[in-house]
Amino acid sequence: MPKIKRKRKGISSKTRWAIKGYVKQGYSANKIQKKLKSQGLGIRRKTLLAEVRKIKGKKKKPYSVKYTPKKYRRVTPKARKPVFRGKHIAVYRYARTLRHRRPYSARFEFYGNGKDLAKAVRLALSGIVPRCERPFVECSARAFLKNPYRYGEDGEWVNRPNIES
Amino acid sequence: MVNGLTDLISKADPILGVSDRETVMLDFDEMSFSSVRYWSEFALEKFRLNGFIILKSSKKSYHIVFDRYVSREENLAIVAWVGILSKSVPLLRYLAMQCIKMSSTLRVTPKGHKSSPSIVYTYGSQNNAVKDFLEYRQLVKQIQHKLHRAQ
Repeated sequence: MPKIKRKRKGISSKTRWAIKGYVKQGYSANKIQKKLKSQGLGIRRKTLLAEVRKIKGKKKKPYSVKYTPKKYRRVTPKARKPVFRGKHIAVYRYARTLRHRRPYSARFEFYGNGKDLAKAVRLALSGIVPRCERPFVECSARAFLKNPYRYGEDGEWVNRPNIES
Repeated sequence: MVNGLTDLISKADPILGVSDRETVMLDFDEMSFSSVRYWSEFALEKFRLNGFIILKSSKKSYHIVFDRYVSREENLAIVAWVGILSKSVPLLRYLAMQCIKMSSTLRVTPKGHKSSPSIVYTYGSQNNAVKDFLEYRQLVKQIQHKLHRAQ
């Protein structure tokens, strides 16, 4: 099999020599890049800056991200705050809906932060009850607020029925 | 469905409570305070639960929250032990409901003529599960207060 000639990484000695000359003359990185481009020796800015630093004997500045415009910064995903799943707030009683007139024991169990919990409880109290097919629902308050009808349906909370025989 | 059942049903606000799987919670009904304290101390010593609080929910009804976090299985075992030894049928019913709902819940808001449970006795450490329970209880009370104000 014929050997594939790979392009050499880095920059040619000619380019390096040119950069050295321009740095000695006190040119800025922008000007050097333009000069090189006009001579057909264009290189990536990142490579050029590394080479200039090498010639000047300077180290790379720490926290270089702060010199990059915000829109070009590579954002590392933030570590999500763990939701405390241990304790839940339970909203429970008997419920009935238009589909199921017979009251059934129903319960929501919400977890999440305080504000979301308060909103979720308010929403549940406003007349959203768990479905009869799935009366015990455990979900995050935020998910419930986003899509309440995924976890319940319109209905009303009622007292335990007094069945008299 | 029983005839006329709909007439007997009245609208009501749902009850708010704190629910957890890893906190040992007991619900004693129809039991004197001294018996409740005896069984709480018994469970504390037998299962090394570090501390507990007793909340009075209504006349002869008490809720107990223990301080040490345990696994779900251990939680069920402790409640079953206390239920059988104390021969408390309501506690065994509470255990059955724990198994059905997969978590134990204690009421925080009023229910019918019963007011919200209040702390009547504390013993031992209060820094772990009891502390978290009380924080959540406070949160539920704040939510309830806000809802009442909004109404």
